[in-house]
Amino acid sequence: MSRARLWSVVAAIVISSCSSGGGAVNSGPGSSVAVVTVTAANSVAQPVDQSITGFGTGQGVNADFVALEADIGADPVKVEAGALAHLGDADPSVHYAAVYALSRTAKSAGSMTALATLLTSARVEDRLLAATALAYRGDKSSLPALIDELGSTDAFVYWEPAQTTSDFARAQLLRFTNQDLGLRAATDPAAAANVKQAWQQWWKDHGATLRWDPAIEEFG
Amino acid sequence: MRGRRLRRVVATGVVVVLACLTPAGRSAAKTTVTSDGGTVTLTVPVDLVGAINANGTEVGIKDLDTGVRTPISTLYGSAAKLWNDAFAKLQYKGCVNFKLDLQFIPKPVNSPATPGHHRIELGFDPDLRPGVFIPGATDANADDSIPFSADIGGTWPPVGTDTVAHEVGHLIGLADDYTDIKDANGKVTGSKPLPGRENTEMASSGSENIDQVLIDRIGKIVENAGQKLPKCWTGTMTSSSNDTVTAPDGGLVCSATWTTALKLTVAADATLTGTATTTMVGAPVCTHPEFITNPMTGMLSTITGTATDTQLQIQLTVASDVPAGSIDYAGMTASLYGFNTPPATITIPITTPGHAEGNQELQTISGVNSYTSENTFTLDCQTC
Repeated sequence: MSRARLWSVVAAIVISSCSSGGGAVNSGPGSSVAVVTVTAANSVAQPVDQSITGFGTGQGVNADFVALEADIGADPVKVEAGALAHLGDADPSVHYAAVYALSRTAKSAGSMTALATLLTSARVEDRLLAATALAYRGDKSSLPALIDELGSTDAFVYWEPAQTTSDFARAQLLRFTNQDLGLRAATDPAAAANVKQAWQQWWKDHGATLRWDPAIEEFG
Repeated sequence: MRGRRLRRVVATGVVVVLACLTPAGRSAAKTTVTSDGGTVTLTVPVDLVGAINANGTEVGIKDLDTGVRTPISTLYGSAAKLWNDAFAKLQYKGCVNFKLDLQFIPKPVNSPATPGHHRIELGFDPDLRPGVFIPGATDANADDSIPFSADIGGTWPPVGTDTVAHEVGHLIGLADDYTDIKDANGKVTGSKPLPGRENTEMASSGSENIDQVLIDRIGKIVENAGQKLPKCWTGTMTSSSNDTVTAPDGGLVCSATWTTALKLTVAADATLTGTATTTMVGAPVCTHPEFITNPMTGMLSTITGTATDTQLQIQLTVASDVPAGSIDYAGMTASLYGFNTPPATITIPITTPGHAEGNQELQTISGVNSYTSENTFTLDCQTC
């Protein structure tokens, strides 16, 4: 590759990556579920998976996430394809990276189906990442998976700062719904456990009629 | 988990990281330190890239504490209160008060890096893992002063103020106080606080406890960054005082002994400020105790002065009497503060680096009455 060609590629990567984070400001995927047409399977893009297969083998968790996010920023479609290809990886770190990458990039129908399947995974981090990704895309069927984690003292692995799965689920429920039901004041898992039943009842009573408001990214 | 030096990252990642996350340069302004007396202000300018949307208005996100949609720079800026509330209560080495000036500057998507500002790329996907990337840091659990010499980059999803406060902790050099738990196969199965750091701000989300350990670590980080902190001297003054009032009926002579706790702060320009808390030891001894009503048992003073390499020179000014409205029969206050005269100037030699001691007699004469005190000083510098 000529030097000129190399730098044009570099420039393209930088522009693509730097614009991707903020791009979500006005184009969050919550309103685009129904119109997604590009799937990993039919994409002409080759999967990008080095930051997925290398996850957990580098210079630390943060560096692994930086590499993964860099790839996502550069070409989310290729990373989406890579994520789908590695969801079944036997290495737990690679599997985690694939789930994380999928939750960040999912647009295709195949990815949405994969996320829905992850809601019943034995791994709590799978369930929570998938539930959050689906909720962000306007799929209310993910809310029970979040409610189920209220009160859990399990660690939400790899997250920063360290937190329990209950803490993470609480934040997402408060973010994606217009409900409180005592959860706002429940700042630790024990307190969250006390309001779990109220949330389960709320879902039972109102789940069927909840509607996604893409303007405020909230179910109401 | 905080950043470590990248070694094995695909070329694309390196390029993007360099472009988006790493500092504009070590010479850029970054987190800065200024001192005013005993107050040391940590100024943390942070560009929130993506906080201005296409129509030029600031993005609002839901405040999880209130449910109210709030401009993101306002919401995140409220994390400063957590730190400043702690800084107001806890001092470094007994005399330095830190203050956080957290400046979140909303920026449109794709804004160029601002030299001297940290740069946070906002993502609005809640599955985006929050973090800041400290270039050159090698140990996620080791504090460092890199944010004081380099602009730091990071990515944040919508987060609560507790998480913002944690991330801001990284921007003032604090490391994580938690570590990953791994199973035999190296799989991360959880995380745990470092010993003794349970339920503190840098250990876990939702822990809004900023304790003395964090304050002391910040002080060391600032010093390691080459910043001069105020010099803090603490010590005591032990005194015996005497009041001789001459009167036709024989007058009154009283004496007393006192101890005073001294706290002095020497700013970068050598000006000195501080406080003195004086307590009488026992009761005044007087020739006519029958005249004694409501005697003073202590006083609080403010201190001003100057410092050199060889001496501390101070003057005390009354702040309050203990009890309020009481009378000093033993001459201590008049010897220190003067009696319609300027307060006494006290000179304490610095006898060895970081240690000052000496004796000084103070006397105020008012007509035929005299007020004297013999004073012995011992002070040590806590931050020299």
